[in-house]
Amino acid sequence: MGEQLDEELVRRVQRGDKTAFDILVRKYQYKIAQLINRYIKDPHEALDVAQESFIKAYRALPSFRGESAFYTWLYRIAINTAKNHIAMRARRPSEDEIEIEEAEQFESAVRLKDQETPEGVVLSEELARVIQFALDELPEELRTAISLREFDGLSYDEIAQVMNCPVGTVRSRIFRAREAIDKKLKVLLG
Amino acid sequence: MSDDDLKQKLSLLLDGELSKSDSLALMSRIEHDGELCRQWHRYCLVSELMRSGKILPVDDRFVDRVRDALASEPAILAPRPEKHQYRERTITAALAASLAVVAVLVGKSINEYSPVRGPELLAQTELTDTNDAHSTVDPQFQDYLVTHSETAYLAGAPGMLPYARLVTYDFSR
Repeated sequence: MGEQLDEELVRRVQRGDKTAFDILVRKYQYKIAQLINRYIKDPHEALDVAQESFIKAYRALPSFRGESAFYTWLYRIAINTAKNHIAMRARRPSEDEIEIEEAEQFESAVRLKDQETPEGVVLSEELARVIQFALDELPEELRTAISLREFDGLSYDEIAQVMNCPVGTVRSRIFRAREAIDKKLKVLLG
Repeated sequence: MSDDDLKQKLSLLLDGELSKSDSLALMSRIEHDGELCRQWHRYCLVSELMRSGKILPVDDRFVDRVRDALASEPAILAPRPEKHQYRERTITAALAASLAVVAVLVGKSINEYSPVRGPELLAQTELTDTNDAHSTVDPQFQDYLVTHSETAYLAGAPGMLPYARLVTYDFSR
């Protein structure tokens, strides 16, 4: 279903509909940001590279023929953009003609920049703690449904088989679990 | 549609379980509904955090920044994939038609000299043998005919085939 939606959105972009690309960006911004964050730990830099990846994808869309899924294609662009960014950053000292004595400091500065920022770590940990707390408070059937979906990546049909219930019940349970978690998260995020 | 119905659709959209038309309608609505957009962000955030254990929060302005960066870019007017597919289908159909014509011609050629006409040819053979019983075939010419008999009709010279068969036919077997 997701791939069909992407195909339709890509077709629309290729016909000149820019708002369809906004939808694609909104759909995949989290996935792409997390992916790039594995390579570039600085959150601001990672978001800049994620933005650059989407811009490159837009420019390359005329040549996208749908031979692979849109996300697979976008994933490759994001990985390449992140790698190029790291390579360019590594070349920067020589381009700026930094003295040998300073080069070591520069390199360590780059390395330091690669560390996750304390604020990012705190926020991530706090969010994880809230989600875990919300999960623990969920009734068993809701917790199982959302866990099978998010942790194990099962489809609704597969969850219905595992939990021995109709697919409609799975839909409802996953939604109710998300709502319960969202209520706690809303308080934290303000 | 009630608020809960809308949110449930959002949940289905996140899991790729919503129909294509509903997904498109909902994604368009997200673009214009601030609260729905924030809800979508939180759902995505929870999903990613549960899967990866850590998260890089994406701010609400991310899509706007990409849109602004692309504002000066011309809209894409790529050749439609349907046309591409149409061209491929046309080429495939033309190839299939060509193969069919070749198959018909080859089939016709084979039928003209098929064993169904064997008795007729045999009669001709007997007639030839009777009329010219003492004549001998030039061995060099016979070798030539035998050598070419297998490939002659493929090379577009079917007229040689029955004669080649005649001169190589051993009636006593």
